[in-house]
Amino acid sequence: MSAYREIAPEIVEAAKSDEQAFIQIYQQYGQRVLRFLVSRTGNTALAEDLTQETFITLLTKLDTYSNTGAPFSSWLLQIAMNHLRMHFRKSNNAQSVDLDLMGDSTADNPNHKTEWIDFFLALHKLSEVDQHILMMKYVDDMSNQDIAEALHISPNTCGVQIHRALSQLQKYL
Amino acid sequence: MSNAEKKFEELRTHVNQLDTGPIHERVEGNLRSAWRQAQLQDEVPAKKWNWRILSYALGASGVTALALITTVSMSPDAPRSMTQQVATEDEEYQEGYALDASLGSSAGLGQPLSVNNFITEPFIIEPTTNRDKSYTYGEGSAQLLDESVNLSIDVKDDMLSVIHQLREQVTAQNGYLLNISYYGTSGTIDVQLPASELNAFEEVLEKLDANHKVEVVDYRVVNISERIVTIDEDIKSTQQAIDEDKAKLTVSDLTEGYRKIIQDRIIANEEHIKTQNAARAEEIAKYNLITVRVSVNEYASFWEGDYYQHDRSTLSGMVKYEISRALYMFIGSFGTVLRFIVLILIYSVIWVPVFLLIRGAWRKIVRAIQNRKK
Repeated sequence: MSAYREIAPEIVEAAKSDEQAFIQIYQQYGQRVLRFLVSRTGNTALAEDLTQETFITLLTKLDTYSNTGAPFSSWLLQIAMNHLRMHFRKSNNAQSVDLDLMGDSTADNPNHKTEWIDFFLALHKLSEVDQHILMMKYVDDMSNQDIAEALHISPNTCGVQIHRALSQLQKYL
Repeated sequence: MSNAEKKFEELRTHVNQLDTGPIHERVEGNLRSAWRQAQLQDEVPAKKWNWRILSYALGASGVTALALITTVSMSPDAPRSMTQQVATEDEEYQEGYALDASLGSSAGLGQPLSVNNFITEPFIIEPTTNRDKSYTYGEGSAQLLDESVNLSIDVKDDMLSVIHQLREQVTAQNGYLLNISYYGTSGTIDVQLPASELNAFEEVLEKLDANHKVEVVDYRVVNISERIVTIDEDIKSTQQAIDEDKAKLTVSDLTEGYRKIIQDRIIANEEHIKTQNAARAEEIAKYNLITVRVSVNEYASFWEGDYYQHDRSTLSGMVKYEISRALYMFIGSFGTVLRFIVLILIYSVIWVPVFLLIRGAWRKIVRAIQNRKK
């Protein structure tokens, strides 16, 4: 059972020609996409840019969308992941550890800061898919079914992969 | 809960605690203006799409045209032409095969052609004057005849292959090629053969012919005795003039100027005799050689040749004809399509990079538009 409520297909259909319906989609998914991107980049300004690019892509590609029964969010997160991938490609695949997200909690406590750096470095050692799987599971709070649909894998594979990725991360920490 | 899970939990808390209100306001505002810009662009959608479609269409049609042109030009039905002067009268050959006139005129004609194959009556030119034009050689006399024949064959083989075979055959029969001329599916081959080899040559042509039948288009015999006699008379009278001039030179009271004129005339007459002797030898050389012009017509194709042979007046013949024709057309069309596909694939080294470049450029343009919207 998905933890998130999906938008009605009629609104998605209406958004092709109605501004308000499109904004409604943003209001429904904007927060989720922003959190998704913030957790991966660690930088709120960058996440904001990528969120905006994601929704502009949605605006241009909405005409090609057809409801196949899969959650709309899977498609949207795919777009967000593509933008994230493009961003890393532009920066020569250099994944940075940005603790901007942690705010004051790291500024006041140097040990805390080191822990977070270690955590992100260990996370970056995992494959891109494994990173997404763990983030979706533990940060985005998505169900195995939703993760499987977003990553185009079977739910069983998803469960196995979560377990393996977590063990691997634990080993690196 | 493992360390990793604890860290993820902590990260989620941080993410959830973020004050995203101002961010959403900004993004929402930007999205609204992006929406309006997109709407404005949608009002002229034809322009937006025309460029894209036009570039793809131009590229695709260019490649298709290139492939079509190459397909047509590579088609086996495409005209091919070649005219080659292979040899002129070969002096050595003429001398080697100059006729011993004692063989008589009938031997000069060689073996008779297959009479049934004549499509017109043989054309024989007899001496035009009533003088005795029999060629005199030694103690005998004979009529010298220059023969030429035009033969026609229909072949299933490729024109070049037939030319190659005939060339080998002519050489094997102590003849030589004079001229080869062909265009597309028809051509002519001029050869000269010893007259006695004509029959054997005709048999070879019959084997090459699709119906094993050689058509004699034209057969021409020219009596060249008169020419020889005329040359001989000319030589004789010139020789007489020389003798007379030589006799005049024996007279002692000639002026130096007149003597010089006579000497020059003798030299000129001697040269004339030499020239006439060469012309005589050339005429005689023709005696034992026959000029053969072979007109070769290639069937449009092996398949076409096959299905045309069926008798369509009977039911079974008609069925065979239609089946063969359908099969021929299918193979013909399939071959053309296959050739076309192969050419498209070959030219992909041009159009695939062009396509990728266009696509890349298009994406850059789209990205630039998106950035402007922001």
